[in-house]
Amino acid sequence: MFVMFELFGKFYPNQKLAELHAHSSLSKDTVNGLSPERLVRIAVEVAKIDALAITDHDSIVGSRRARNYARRRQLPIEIILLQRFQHQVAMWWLYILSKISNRI
Amino acid sequence: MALYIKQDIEPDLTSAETVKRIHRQRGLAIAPHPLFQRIHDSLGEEGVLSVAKSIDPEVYWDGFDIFNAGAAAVTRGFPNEKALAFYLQHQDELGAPIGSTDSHGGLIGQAVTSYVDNLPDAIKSKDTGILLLDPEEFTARLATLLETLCPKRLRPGIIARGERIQRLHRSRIKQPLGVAVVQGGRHEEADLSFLSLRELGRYNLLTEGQKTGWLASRLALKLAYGNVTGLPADLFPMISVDNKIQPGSYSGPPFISANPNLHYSLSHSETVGMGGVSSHPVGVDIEKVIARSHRLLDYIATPGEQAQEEGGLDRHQLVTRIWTLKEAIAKGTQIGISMRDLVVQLSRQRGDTYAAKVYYRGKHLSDWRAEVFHRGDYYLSIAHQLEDTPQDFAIHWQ
Repeated sequence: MFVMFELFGKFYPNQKLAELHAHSSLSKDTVNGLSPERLVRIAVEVAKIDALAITDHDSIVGSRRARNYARRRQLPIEIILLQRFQHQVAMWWLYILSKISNRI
Repeated sequence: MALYIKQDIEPDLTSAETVKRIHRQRGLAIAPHPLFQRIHDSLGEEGVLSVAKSIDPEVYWDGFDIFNAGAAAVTRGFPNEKALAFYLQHQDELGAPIGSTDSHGGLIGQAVTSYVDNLPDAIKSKDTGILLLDPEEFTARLATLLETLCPKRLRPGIIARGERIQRLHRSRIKQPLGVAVVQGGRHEEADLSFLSLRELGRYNLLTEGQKTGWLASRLALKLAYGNVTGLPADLFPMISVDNKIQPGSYSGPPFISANPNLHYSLSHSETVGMGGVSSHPVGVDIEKVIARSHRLLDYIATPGEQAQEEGGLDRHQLVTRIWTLKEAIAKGTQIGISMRDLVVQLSRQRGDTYAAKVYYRGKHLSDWRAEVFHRGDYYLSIAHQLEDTPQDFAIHWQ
């Protein structure tokens, strides 16, 4: 297991580790991201974590691909099906900004 | 964020409506980087509390992202410290403590959530902890990963994008050598996704005037590294360009800790960056031609070195040309041209190729070979130690 620092919360000797926020190349705000399959491989071989959530924006596709990959290869990792949402106010701002920039 | 959902939930709903639909699917609702104001989709204190204090029994938080490694790379605003203080103030209403990396380039596992047995049950009962990874340990693991994904196949080659401007060294030479040149633009518009989190933290500390050149040189070095090792560009965020700090100095030669056996050199001038990577000592330098003192030429070049140059160059071009050659060689020795004890003696071979002897405190240190190029307003030089000269390499302008 990695050398890690305990920051906050409850800890146990036999605890597992979960990465709950990682974007794949399918996320619209990621330019040079890794494919969901490659992320799973890194999670297992390098990060050595027990559960992974792929948090692509507004889509569950990356999570599904990752889960299928892990199942096919029988990798020792739980892939959490997950969806990430844009905040509505932010979407309004983006809409307004796009209108302004179109006028310019 | 909606964990353990089975079907897509329509985007652009209000926070409360989204959380309600998550719970109807028996999913878990977590507020990601909630107080990171530089991210446009962070909820902020009011947004978080609007859900936390809702009277609707289906609207509540299951977890709160206290430590977000992406937010931690930002030095202004202390979003994680604020999130922890906010959580301590409202922890009865915010669910389980969550730590995450928020990786956009593969750097996962820097901050994680610990649990026992079953993750959803642990989150529901707030039985979780936040663990941060030791950066040095991650670097060690990263080296393993790079070997897995990019087996050792050091090679001279072509970077995926960019204009190839000249092929050098057609003679028989052996070692692999990657060189790349990057023309920087406005740093405000730069895609920073090639930087590691550590580099992003450093980037945020630079002044506005330093940023473009710093970015261009880092990208150039990573492109050169990719050229030599076969590392694809999507893995660039996983390697960091660091500096070996020299005694008595605030800086030093660059290196990539994932592959300490290679030799690295980088340079930038205004908005253009240049990087060189080789299995043997290498040095690169780039300088823009600008008006310089007339006495500088006599200071950096002996009368013999000046005499071997062709006519047609004005004095400023001549100074820049010789300066980049000597600077590239001095960088390759890792001693640095600012050391008064270092003497670089140039001997022009043919065209833009030079042989050089390096003396340190009067003693012969090593023999070098160097090439100089004139591109637009810039002179670029590449130097490598003569004993193991590279077989063939190309320079690329990005």
